[in-house]
Amino acid sequence: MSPLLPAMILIPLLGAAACMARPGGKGRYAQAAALLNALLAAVMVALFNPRDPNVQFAVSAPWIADLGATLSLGVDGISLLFIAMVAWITPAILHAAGGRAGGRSGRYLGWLLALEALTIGAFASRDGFLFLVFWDLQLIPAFFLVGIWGGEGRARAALRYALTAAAGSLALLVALLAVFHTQGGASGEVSMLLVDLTAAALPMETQIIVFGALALAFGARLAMFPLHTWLPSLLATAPASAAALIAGTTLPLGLYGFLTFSVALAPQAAAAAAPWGMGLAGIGALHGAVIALGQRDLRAVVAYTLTGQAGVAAAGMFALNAAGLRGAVGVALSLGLTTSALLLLAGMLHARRGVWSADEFGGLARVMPRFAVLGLVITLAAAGAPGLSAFAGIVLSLLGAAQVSHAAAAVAAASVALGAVALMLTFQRVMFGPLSNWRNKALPDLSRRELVVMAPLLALILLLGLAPGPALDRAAPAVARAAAAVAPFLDGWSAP
Amino acid sequence: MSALIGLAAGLLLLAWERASPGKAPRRRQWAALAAVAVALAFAVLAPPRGGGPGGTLVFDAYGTFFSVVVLIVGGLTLVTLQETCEQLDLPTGELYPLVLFALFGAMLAGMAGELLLLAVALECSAACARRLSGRPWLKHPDTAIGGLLLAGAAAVFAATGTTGLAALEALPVSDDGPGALLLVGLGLTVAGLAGRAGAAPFHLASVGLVADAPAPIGGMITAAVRAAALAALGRVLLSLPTLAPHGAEALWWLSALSLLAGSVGAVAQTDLRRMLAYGATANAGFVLMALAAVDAGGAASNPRLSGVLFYLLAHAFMIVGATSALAALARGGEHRTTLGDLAGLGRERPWLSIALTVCLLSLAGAPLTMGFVGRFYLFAAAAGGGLYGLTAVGGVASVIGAAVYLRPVTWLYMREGDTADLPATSAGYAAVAAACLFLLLFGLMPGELIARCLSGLLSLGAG
Repeated sequence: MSPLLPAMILIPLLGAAACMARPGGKGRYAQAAALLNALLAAVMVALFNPRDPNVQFAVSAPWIADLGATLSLGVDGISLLFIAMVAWITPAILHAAGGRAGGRSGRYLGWLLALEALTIGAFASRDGFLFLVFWDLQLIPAFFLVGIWGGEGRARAALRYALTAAAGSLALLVALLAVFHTQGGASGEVSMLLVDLTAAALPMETQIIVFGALALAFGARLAMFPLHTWLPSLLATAPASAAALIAGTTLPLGLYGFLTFSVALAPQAAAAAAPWGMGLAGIGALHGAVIALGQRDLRAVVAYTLTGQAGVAAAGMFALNAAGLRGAVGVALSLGLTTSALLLLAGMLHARRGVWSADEFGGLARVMPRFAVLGLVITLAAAGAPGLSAFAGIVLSLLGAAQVSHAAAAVAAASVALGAVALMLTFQRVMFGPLSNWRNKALPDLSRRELVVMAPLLALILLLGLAPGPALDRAAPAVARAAAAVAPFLDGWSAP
Repeated sequence: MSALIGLAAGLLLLAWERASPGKAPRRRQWAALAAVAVALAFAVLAPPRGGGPGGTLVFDAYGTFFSVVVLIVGGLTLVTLQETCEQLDLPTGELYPLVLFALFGAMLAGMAGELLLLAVALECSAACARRLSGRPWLKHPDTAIGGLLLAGAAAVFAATGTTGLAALEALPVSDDGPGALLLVGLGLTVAGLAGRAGAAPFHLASVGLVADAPAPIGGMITAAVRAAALAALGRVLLSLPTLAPHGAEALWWLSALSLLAGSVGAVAQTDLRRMLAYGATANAGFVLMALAAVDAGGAASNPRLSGVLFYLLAHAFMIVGATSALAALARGGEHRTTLGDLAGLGRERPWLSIALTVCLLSLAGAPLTMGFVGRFYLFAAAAGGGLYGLTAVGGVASVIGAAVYLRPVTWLYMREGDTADLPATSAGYAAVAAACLFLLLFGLMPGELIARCLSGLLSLGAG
């Protein structure tokens, strides 16, 4: 029984409650709670035993006996990495949003903290019912963040997001019920524990229902083509810091769902659906990258390159071999980091000029040299340059995909290249060329506060880029288990 | 016993009204509240017993549980009613006897073990409901639904010579199934009960009744009078295990129609009272969805149907909570329950807005509320009975429902509005706070309540 995970959920929740209790407050406790959580995440990563394939830091308490639901938390290698990522980017995002310079109210910071807590809860759930609860609740902070503090059309965007998400939640509910229903026949004992749910070998017809419903739920969160449309509209409306945390938590959660639930609950259906998933992933990757090429709005560029890279991750995942699955985890981790960093940078430009269009800028490298260097590193990282965070994940994903389908791997590789072009073109538009717009001539460079915001993100991007091994190795046992679950059904799809 | 206290108190209050019309309304409110409190104490503390004379009234755990639901609804309604009516300039003289009679009828319907008594009890509460919402006693489409119930009871009697549920179940079963007349009678009964519950295609009568009434009255009609028919339907189906499967197909269609008509109807509404009225039809559809999965094994083989009891209590809290919050907005002779009236409330009345949001989220089925657990059970019952098509319809209705119930939330928090002359505080605050507390408490820790629901359900098989 380790108190670490409950603490990591309760601390941000308490911080959120403290922030919201005083409507006029500035949310001083928010930062403290987030930093404490980041520290706990570091402790957890340090104590995690990478060679132990079992769930670690497990806690369990009875909850609703009749439904077989328990309050059961724990982490495997994959959820460890995602939890650490979320816990480490949150303080940076809070720092960007709060304080006198950030200007956001205590309530706003409280919702951000609530989003952190519920996301960690979803990653740490070892019980299907508990996962469903966290998964559903995770929508509520996003709904209010976008709906209250968003830009034009915020109520509509919030409602659209909530409805997409509600449909996904319902699909998840249906999938869980379909598994649940197969239990408790003779003995009457039911259990929603993940290990018990996955232990039941479902008949193929049930697996198809389960996998289809889960694919709807997780595909929507992962912004997989054609379920990606909510993402650009959300990012175009949400405030930059909220968008950073929502995108940084939601997409990895979708991928995690696929790896942990879909593959384990319905391995046979997953194997059967893999070619289709791979096809959709390829289309999505290319579609996102191509659309990103034509965008001028900074947030839209980020949003579409994001859906493109989510497609690359999905391609690696549907390869269903160890390399592809590990690559998918790597891409998702990097996505969380680079997307938040890029959106925060765009937010800093917006704070200076009040516009989001790349055409409004140009030649900024001359007036904002520090911003330019930082921006270059982060853009390169997002584009998948070697030595930075996304590289290892993308290479592994493409390798994994290439083992099963050269065509899909080629399409995914082309989308990576196109996405890089889109990002670099945008960077060039903003940073280089003549400093023609007079409004840009006196823009201040990054302040010390903004450097403090970006420093941890930059450090994580470099760390994951220069030494991806320690991170991805921790995920290896969990990935191997997922790969082993589907291996018997692959039948020539995924030759080693 | 608790039902009798309600009846006696109602009669006393009626006599009081006749003796001195319109005087001391606050005192009458307190008297009615005290009667409900005493009845509630009896319902909670007195151990459930077996059947009454000839099985006409059954004092089992199932009936007692539903009596508690009705009395909670009644109590919370009575808290807000007086003040709302004062704000709306409505006379309150005959209000309290009518409310108590309506509650009495609803409790009686939950305990009726006999079709004729069931029809009469439901008619008693429905007639009071019509009167309370300012409609004529008799000349209303709602009255015709009572006719269905009576015709059903008559047909059953003509076919078998009895209308008691226990006697019907004890009838010998012939090889070629029940006779046509018996099936017609049961079909009419099921249709009548579904109609009384506000299910489609009978829902327009019910929506029309609730939508223009003061918010607390509408809440009481939905959460007690309409719910009584659902509780009674559950009893009829589970007390007649050999006959119940014959009605499953009809329930399938009633449920699907209610789910779609209710949720689609609610989307278009801008007045929250009307929205909740259509939403109640969709909620009746959810309950019918679970009931349609009933199989021939009786209560013991349908444990998931205990979700019906859980959901009826959950729905009572959600509806009464939401309507109490709305009741607190009434002022200057106007109801003020449109979406536009909610704009800016999140800033002006943060606690009231949070409470209303909790009720709405629970109606939408958000986790950590009773609405989520209850909905989960109903879906589990339907999916467990193999009704995948109906479960899918329920899923669609749930998603539409999310849109319906989140829309007022966007108005509460995401739009600016005129909130001048809001009453500073109101009795509605207390009612909605209590409802929220229970919604969250039993949403977080439903274990004990689920056990109660299950024992309530299993008591149907025991008697």
